[in-house]
Amino acid sequence: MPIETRVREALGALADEAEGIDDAPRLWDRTRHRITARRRRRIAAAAAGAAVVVAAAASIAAVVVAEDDRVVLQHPGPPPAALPPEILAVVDGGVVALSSADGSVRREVAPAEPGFPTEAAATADGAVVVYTRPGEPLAGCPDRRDLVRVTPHGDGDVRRLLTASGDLRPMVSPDGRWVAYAMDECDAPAEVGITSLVDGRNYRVQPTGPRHLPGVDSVPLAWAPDGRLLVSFAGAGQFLVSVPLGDEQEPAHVGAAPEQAFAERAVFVSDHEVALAWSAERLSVQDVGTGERRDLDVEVGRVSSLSWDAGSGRLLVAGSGGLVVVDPSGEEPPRPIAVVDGLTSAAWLRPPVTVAEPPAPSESREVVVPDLAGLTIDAAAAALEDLGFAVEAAAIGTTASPDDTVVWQEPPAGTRRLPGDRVRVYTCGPGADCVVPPPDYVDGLAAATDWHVVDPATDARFPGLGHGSPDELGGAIAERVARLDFSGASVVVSQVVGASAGDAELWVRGRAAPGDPLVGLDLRLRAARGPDGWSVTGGEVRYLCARGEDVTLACP
Amino acid sequence: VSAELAAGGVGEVVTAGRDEAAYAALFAAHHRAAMRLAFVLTGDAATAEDAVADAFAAMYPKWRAGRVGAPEAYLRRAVVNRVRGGIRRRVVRRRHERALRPAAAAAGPSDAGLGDRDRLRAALLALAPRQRAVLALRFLEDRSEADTAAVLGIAVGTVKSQTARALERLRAVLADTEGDE
Repeated sequence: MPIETRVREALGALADEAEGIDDAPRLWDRTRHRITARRRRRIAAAAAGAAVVVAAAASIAAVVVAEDDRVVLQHPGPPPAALPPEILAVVDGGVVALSSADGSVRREVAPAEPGFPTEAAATADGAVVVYTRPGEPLAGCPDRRDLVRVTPHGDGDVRRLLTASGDLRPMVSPDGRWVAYAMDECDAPAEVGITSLVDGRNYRVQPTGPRHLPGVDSVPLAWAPDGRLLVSFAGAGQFLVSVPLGDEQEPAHVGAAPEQAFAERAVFVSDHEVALAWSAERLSVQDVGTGERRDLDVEVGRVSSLSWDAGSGRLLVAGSGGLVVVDPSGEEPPRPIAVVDGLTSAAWLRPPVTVAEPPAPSESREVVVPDLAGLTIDAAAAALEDLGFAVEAAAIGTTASPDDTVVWQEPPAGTRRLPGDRVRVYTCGPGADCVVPPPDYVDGLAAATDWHVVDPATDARFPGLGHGSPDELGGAIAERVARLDFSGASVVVSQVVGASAGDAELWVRGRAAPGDPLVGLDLRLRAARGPDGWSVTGGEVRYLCARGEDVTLACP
Repeated sequence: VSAELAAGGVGEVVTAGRDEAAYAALFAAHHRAAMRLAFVLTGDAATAEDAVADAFAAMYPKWRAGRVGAPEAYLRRAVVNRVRGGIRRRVVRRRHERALRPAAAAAGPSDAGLGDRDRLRAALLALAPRQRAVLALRFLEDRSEADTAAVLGIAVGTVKSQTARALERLRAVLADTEGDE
């Protein structure tokens, strides 16, 4: 029997199971309930808008609210707290956008991923946005996600932080320096990762010691105002974790996990209280220390995101109930706010960021770097200065004289650079025996261990090449480079691109072993001369990797 | 006051119930198909009911304003969109349920005694959500590739490739089990 026929039958049988659970009267009741709730919110939002018109026209302060389908005037209560004017919005189809709170101005910061439930988070000022997108699947692990970052007001480049299975649900720390996320590698126990948004350092959070790693509980992550992270471990309870997490640090146990139920979202609303959204469409506030909990008397529907603004003391709750501002003290009734079309989750942004379009990129002012080989240092400097480049000269050999000519340059001739960029010329005296690259530099490589690998996708730096970097990404890079080394792949210094008496930059080209998906790499090393000779002080790595027939720079 | 506000744009100030009976009739005509689709997409009764109730509620104001020409198509798209948001919750719930029954989970699922149909059912539910959605629209609802692409908001080429991959996977599952026997 053709597979299509079998699938058709299996789908039909599965759909028939729905017949057994389809309780029409109950479903209709739920539908009516939701219709009523939606109508109330819509009326309240529209009436709130109308109130502004009324108040302006009649010079009276009035608040209009809707109860059932009646619209009434009500004396104003205390003035509402000033809310952050902008939000990070995720809308249907996975579009991540910065939006004014009324939805009137919106700028998309990430492309749509149709069919993919995107999760997003941002630093408080909206300067860095992280979100999830479909990741490269692995065998037996089809549903992986990339966690990526973008700087909407900066270069706008989308950079991948990592790929993992699981919901991830990124949460950015209050200081904007870390992002925490939950992952489960293909049905392995869930665990929590923390990645620096500054330098790419990664941690896996564990409650006790490095070997014991029970699964993280389904209670979601939350950053406390003091920068610690609240994590629940199945069977082990709830912990506040200091970040960064050094080897010697023990996470602070703060009690049992809230309860064996499905808290789906959490956010701190004071230094010791966390607001929790439950799958049963309830919202509550729980004291982290005592476990004491009170339910909030608000209808918010199924919550997809919770965000807290300490300035106004208000929660921003998004979900099936629309977008609602909630006062956890209960003094102010929930306020629906104008909804961005198709919004699925939202977070406050404060202080305000400018949602206006970034300036259009101006036409490139890049200038072609000329070929300087054979010129005297003065002629080379004049040529470069005419083009607006800054000149840095370095001499090989024991003396430097005006008769020296250029033997190397960085960047190479023909590349394009902006005026003001530095061009280094590397000179050699006439008749001098200038070996390029000088043996000193090559010898220095063998002894060098103290340098960094820089992942081009994230600019993340990982110390200790080949020494087990503390994260998946760095580990993978280190492993690949180490594999090149151990498998006899050639790793050679191919060019000295600049040097002076005290430091040097070198290109190293590597060729991978057969079968390695990484087909090559470029290492650019910085070296410095010390009392014991040359040593490498830093570097960058660029990959060439094969994916199908494509060869692309920067992988994975 | 009501009149003033209505003039100011509060168009929703109306008496409830006027259209309710008509909408109830529309619900009666379409909820079954919506539930079948939602259940296939989620494999979970509560999530499916959630998606269906929400889809009907979302359609109501547009329907009342006369802006829904094809309720069935609107509902299909609304259900699919809502299920997308619900999938993560279901994953969390499954994980939680695993944690609550560690002994059974530790033993691992056993295929012994399962027929082809059960294996196929399990394999269908284990597909990536988008693949399952594509199969449901193509083979449960007999939608064309173009229709399926429109409902999911993806390219026709993606519908083709996702269908092929999903079928390939299911074929492999069946081949494995046949090999075992």
